[in-house]
Amino acid sequence: MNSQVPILAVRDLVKEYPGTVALAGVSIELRVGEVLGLIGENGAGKSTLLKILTGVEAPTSGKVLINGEIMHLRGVRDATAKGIGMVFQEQSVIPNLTIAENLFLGREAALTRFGVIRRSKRRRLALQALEPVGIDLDPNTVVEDLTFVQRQLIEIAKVLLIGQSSGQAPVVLLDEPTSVLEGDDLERLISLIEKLRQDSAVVFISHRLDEVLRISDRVYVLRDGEVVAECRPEGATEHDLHLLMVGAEHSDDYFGIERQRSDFGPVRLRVTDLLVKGMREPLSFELRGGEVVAFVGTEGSGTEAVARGVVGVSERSSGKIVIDGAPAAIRRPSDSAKLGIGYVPSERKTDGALLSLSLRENLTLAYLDEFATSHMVSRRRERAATKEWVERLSVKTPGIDVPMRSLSGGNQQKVVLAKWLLSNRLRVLVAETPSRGLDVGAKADVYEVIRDAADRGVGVMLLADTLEEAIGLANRIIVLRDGRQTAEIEAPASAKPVPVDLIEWMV
Amino acid sequence: MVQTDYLADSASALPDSPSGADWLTPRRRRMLAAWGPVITLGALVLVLTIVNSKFATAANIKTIANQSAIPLVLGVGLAMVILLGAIDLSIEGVMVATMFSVALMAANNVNDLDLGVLAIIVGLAIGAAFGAVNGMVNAYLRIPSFMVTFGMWFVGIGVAQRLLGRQPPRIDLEARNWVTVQRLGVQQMFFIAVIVVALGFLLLRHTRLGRHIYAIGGNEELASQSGVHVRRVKVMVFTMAGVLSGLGGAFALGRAGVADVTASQGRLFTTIAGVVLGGTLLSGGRGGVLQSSVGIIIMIVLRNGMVLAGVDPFLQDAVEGAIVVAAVIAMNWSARAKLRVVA
Amino acid sequence: MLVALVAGVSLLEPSFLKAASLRTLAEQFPLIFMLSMGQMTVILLGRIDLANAAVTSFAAILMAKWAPDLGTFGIVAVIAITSGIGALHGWLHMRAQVASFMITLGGLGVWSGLALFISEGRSLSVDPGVASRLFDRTLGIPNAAIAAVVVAVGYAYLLANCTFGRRLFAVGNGQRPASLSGVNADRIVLIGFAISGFFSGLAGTVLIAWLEIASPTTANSLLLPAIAAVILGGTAITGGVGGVGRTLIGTLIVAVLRVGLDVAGVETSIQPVIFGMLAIVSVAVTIDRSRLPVIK
Repeated sequence: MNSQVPILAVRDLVKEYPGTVALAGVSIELRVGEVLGLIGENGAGKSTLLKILTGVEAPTSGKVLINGEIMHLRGVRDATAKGIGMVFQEQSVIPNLTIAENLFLGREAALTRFGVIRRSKRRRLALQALEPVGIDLDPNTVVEDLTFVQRQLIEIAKVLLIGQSSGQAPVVLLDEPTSVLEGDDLERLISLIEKLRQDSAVVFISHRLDEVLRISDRVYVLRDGEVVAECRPEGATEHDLHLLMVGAEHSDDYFGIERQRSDFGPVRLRVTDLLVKGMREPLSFELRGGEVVAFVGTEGSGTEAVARGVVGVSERSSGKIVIDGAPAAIRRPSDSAKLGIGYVPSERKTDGALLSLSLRENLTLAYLDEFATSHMVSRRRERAATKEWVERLSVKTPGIDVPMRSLSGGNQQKVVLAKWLLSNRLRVLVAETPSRGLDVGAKADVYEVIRDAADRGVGVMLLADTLEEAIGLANRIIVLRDGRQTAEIEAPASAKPVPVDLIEWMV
Repeated sequence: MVQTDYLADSASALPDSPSGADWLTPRRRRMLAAWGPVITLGALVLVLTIVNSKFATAANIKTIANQSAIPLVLGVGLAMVILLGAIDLSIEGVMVATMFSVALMAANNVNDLDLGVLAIIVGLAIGAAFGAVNGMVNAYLRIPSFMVTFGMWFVGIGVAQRLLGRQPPRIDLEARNWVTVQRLGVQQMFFIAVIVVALGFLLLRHTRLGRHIYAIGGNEELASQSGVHVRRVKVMVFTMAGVLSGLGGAFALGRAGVADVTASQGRLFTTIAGVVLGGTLLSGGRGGVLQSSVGIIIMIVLRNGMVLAGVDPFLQDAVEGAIVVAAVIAMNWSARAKLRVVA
Repeated sequence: MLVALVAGVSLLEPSFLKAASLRTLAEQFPLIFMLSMGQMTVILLGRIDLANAAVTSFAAILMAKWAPDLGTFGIVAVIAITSGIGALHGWLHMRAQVASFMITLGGLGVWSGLALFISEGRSLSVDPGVASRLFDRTLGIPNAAIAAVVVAVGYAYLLANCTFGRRLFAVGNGQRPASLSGVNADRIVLIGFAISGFFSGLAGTVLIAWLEIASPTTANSLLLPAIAAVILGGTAITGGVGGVGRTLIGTLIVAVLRVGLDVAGVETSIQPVIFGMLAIVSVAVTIDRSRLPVIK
């Protein structure tokens, strides 16, 4: 079986974004009848690889081959037509249409006579298409009435259907298909994947390593844009895979552990029984001045929900927030900002920075009142503060009035952090993956800023990008799984836990 | 203009928790959208029958039927546009532009041109041209439809004013026949309107184009990825809406016998309010021609009730404006949390 | 472009530079300028106010009704009311998350309907004596018009320098990052619409000061020219880009165009065609398509 030409192969794929390298030469092969596991931490390059395979992004260099032929994919539609179908994490069926309409959308030609759809024929073909995924539903059911897993199965059916018309065995990319499934639904999906491999090839991307080991024939491990290992599931354990994903520790004091504080101020933030959409159990925790508490968990575990509940981005269904002993009424981010809670969102480009405004305008936006006398902003004071912070955080910029867009990602992120740090009113900093997408040097700079904040007595709530980062930076780590807290692990400078200690609580 | 919906955070919705209250499942919501307007209309008719003895008379019901024709035709066009998630504000402009064009081409008292039926066909073609421009500018130049059609609204009015000349063209009695001739005691245009509604219903329900309209309204990006020719569909829909606005203008001409720049005033409100009241959401993809038609009849009956009650006509306009706002807010209420840029 | 336009019109029709046309220009300008200032504020936020001209008509009618009894106080009260109307539009828009064009389109119906209702469809004459400070003329220009332009200049300064102005631009540039930086976007949008209402009220004052009559429909025809003025000046409907200076230039272009077209003998009847197309074309040029993933 291994002698045949791979149905899908990528060779030396490189994808560079301004300032970072997302893929640094990845080669992967996939044959019909195979289920390939693809794992890696956030930022390892998985999503970039998928974007290239579905034609959403073009690689900087390298080749994508289907059946041995070089392909230039020009978009999701083009990729599907050539036999690569992706089942998206965010589902891609249209909710207000029926199952049958979704299955044949855009390809009704065979079903129409003078533009009028022949319903009986469509129904018959839809039933045929649903058979391989094993659901017994009326094709005229509206998709929004279906459960999550049913919708996922419809999507798989659609991918298979299109794959068939490409005249070759379809390649099905499953992106985190199991992340919200439990029990019977999960078993159904797994048995479907078993069935799929008979005449197609499957790429299975998941954070749940036990499932990856159970389903896959081969597993590729991505780290920092490279394939660091290719292994067979036999004999491998979840721990082995995790160690491969996390990689070797940085030798010197990359995270500034020496600067980690052990003496804390009074409790700055007390959260009691917080419950937000995306969490399943209420959560309580405390954050002291000078302390860094990291929240870790796989995607969808609820860490983001906690952070967003605290700053008022997401609506809380329950929970009390007390800041420096005083109950806080936080309904929207402007309330939390007033109370001295700074928020660094994970999406720097769309949520953190106003790219068209100048560096100065970004820097002073959060605490604009501090630069104003009776509502009139003083340019002089703004300039002085901007210059001071550009220097303190060594932001590389040609000037303070250039648009944010012209700065590199790392320097943009420094400005996003500085807009909170510049005020003495800052008491708590909520930072979501503040180092994501930055190069090594910029990451170290960001870590230093976090240490500085802790030195000033600010309590830091950190959603780390990697386990390594969480362990390196935090005094304490709270682990979440499926919307519940599963562990709270102390991480003093003298006795840091290792990733494996956390992993067992995460999966 | 960026409406908040363009920036909406769609990724935040969890699979297991559709928005709105738990009891309001998608199926129940669809049922409510389908039958709510019918029940509202029934209740409205009932109340008016009890309150005003003049309401449930044969003469008044005929009046309502005659008054419904134009809004129904306009409603079919607008409903299709709104199903895409777009909007057509140019209805009134296109109506009067066509009204004047047809008047000057039919047998009239201003010029000697008399193209007969051809006048109507050319008039509809003019409406189609307006619609096609709307659609092409929206789809190919990528300008929000409200802005394009807002501009075209005034272009249409300007064209009509230009055609006005010294005196408003009055058309001959025979040229009005196709609109005003009585059938079963009701003007013929009512039956034409019913046929238009039926055709609109069949188009949306049973043709590929119709399903593509719903797909685009449901999720334009996914529809495009699935191979729907989004831009082509948009141009076609706006063109059809233009034709129907033109037909509305031709009807209005037939009814009045004379072209008038102000003849279309207020039509946009009645139509939008009706379409939205009928449960066709401005966000697109939900609702349909039949529901919209029910909504439009609600508006007509409501206005008829206000007339019977002797409400000042200017105040009626204000009330319609308020209904537009109230209807849009009410229909959007359950979705508002999802549309927020930041909670 | 403005210079070219003035030069072009003057060359083609030397009579343009005569006192009479300049007077008309001076008459048109403050009125359109008030409306375009209000519209600009809302457009900078990435929204639109289709009701502002109707609110002006409503204001003019209310003033005509109240001025005889209340004098200047009546005028001020009406401006307060129109600001409140604007705030109501903004509040409904944010609270219900319905597109602003839709809310204000409904507002257009409500306020023009009420203006017609209150005036019973007639024009009301206003005795300039009732609020003489505002209605007296300096160099033939009503004080109200001069005051309005002064207010606009002050507003330009405020927009550039006060905290609200800075937050307005931030929200217009990106509501998400602005909100996440602690800006209360709901409040900024609400105030923005209130300012639009405020300028509608000022425009109403200017209108009756010039004409000494209040008509329930006169201002309605200025909705489109005012929007065209804002966009022509280079304020993008996607929000966040633009300012008073640009709007001033845009307004001058529109005013010169209106007067110029009249002088050149182009019938007023087709002016809507020109402004409608102008609005579409300038939107096409200034819109930031990268900010709109899907264009509906």
